[in-house]
Amino acid sequence: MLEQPYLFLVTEVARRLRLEGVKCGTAETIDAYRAGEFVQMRTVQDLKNVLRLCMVKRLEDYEIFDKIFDELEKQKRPQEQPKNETQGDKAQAVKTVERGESSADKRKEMTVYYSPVEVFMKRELPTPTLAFMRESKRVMKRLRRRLALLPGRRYTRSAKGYVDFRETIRTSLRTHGEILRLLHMKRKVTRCKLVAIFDVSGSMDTYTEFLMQSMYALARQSVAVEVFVFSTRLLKVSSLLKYFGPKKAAELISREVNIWGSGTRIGNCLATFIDKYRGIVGKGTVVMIVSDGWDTGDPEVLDRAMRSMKELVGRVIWINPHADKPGFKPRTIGMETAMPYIDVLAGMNALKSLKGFKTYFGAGVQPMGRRPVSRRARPALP
Amino acid sequence: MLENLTPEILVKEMEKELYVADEPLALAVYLALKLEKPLLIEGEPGCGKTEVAKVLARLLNTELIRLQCYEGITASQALYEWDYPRQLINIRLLEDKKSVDEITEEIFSEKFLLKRPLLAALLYEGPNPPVLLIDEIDRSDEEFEGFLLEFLAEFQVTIPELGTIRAKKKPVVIITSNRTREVGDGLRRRCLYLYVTYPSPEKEMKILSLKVPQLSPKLAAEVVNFVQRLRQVGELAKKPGISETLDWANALTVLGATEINPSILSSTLTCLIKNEDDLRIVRDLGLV
Repeated sequence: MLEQPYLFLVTEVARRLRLEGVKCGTAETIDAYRAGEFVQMRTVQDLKNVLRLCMVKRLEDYEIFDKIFDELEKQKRPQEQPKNETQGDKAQAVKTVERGESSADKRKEMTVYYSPVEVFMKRELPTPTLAFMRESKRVMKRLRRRLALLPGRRYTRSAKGYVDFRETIRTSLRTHGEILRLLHMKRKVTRCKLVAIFDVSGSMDTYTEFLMQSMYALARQSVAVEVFVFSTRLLKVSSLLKYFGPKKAAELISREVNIWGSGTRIGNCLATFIDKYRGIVGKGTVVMIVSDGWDTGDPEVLDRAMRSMKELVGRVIWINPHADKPGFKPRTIGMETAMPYIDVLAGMNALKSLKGFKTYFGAGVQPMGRRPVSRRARPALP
Repeated sequence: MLENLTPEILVKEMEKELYVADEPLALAVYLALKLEKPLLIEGEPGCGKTEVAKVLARLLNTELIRLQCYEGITASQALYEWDYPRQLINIRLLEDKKSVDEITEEIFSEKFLLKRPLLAALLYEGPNPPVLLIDEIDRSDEEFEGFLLEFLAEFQVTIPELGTIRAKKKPVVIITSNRTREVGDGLRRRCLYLYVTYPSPEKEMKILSLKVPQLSPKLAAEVVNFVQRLRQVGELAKKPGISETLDWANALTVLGATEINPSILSSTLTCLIKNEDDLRIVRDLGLV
């Protein structure tokens, strides 16, 4: 049986991981504890490896874990444990683990309410209402359907493809069970991967509230949706939003990205996106950029980034808040540069309600020709 | 062999199978075996993720059952499918001789079941559990991932016509991902997680000496040095992995090179760089 300090260490690491927003549940803690029985830990590094293996499930969280572990190691042996936890049997271990989680959860809640937020303190960021979430979910679902580029789960009749045995046999009944013709089917195109990139710079200030809420709604959709934000630099926020909800996430994001910083460099940020994340996009991906196109960077860079974006992904959608206003013309330098590479330019209303959505994406408005999903090599960059 | 296994023994055993495992990796494999949990390995392409499963299968003296994931893979392609053409032929053959019920029983028996990898892993009969490699899970779509969750939790499959089939021995499951898509939290939670990255120069030297013993130590050092420098270049879309290093080392031995000079380098660079843009970048930087 393992001695108490190990159990304490495990729960403590788990608690701190959760505070930092790393998903680490009871199952992980139990694993880590059980692993301790199997491994002879001679060095600190061994201990670290075991805990990391069992408790951290993402590359992005490795860094956070390392920090927490090193801190704990510096403190060396932890403080006195509560008296009622001196028994060392397994049932007790599990109990303690659970208790650890619930107290951590409480603490997490408290941080959400009382954390000092420099920027967002001034402005109340309301948690989205249920009605908003529902409407948003409907809109996003439509959006993903409308922009679908990938085959889904369902089948439809076609000339080539898999043999549709069901239909074949059914038709064969007309000829007394003699199969004269094989009918075929293929998958219906109903899905797309969606990458949403939100501009959170100063010029988008007025829309922050709505942006945060739609980001949140988007990120919670499915794993096929990734959300990024940028102002002067780019940050992936999908898992952050999923775990924390809009309030705390907004705080963390504002800490990471220079939100109120002057100067948006759309071009540079998109270039970073292509550099770092080109693996996650493909011809089945729709990229949605939400920005007003106020760009202080080099238009040349933006042009190049947009061109490679267009080549990498299936469709590029640009959501510009000003596009809702009547008589809108894309006149900012950023917009003018990006226009040739955009498939659909829509206003913010498209995300707000189904009605707004239909004005931009409705069946009669814009013919949305489906580009075939091709696996051939992309043309080389000029 | 499973009883008295320790991570240290595992490192040695894997080395006998020509795989250089570092400490975290050996520990991960060891714990996956002991805790009977799937191991999710993420990392750059060509860093030996798939190889772990292959080596492990050889080590455990068992079969490697591989499920290669791809976009649009469905449960029937991973689990089982009825052999329709054979069933149709049999219906025709038995039509006059047997009753409908007898025919139904006949054609929905195990004989007509096409076992795809997941079912094969459950039905595997051998002294040791099989190694089930679920390769490049990130290529499959989320629906399939959801389906896998169920399979990995219970290790059982229900076929309406035959009933529920349970695993005779829980297979050792290795799942790999190249991170082209973020793997869902549900799956992560059920697995042990390891991220493998490019090896350190020392480890790469060791791998070279094991895998390409014909290469002289001096040349090997040059090879490692160059590849490591190449990996420092941030602009490359695809940095060379270990498999590229090995390809290159093999190419050099086939060509009988004794040192890396510009002419050899430019003619064999395609082993390392497999992208037109990257080639241009490397040339522009004057590395070649």
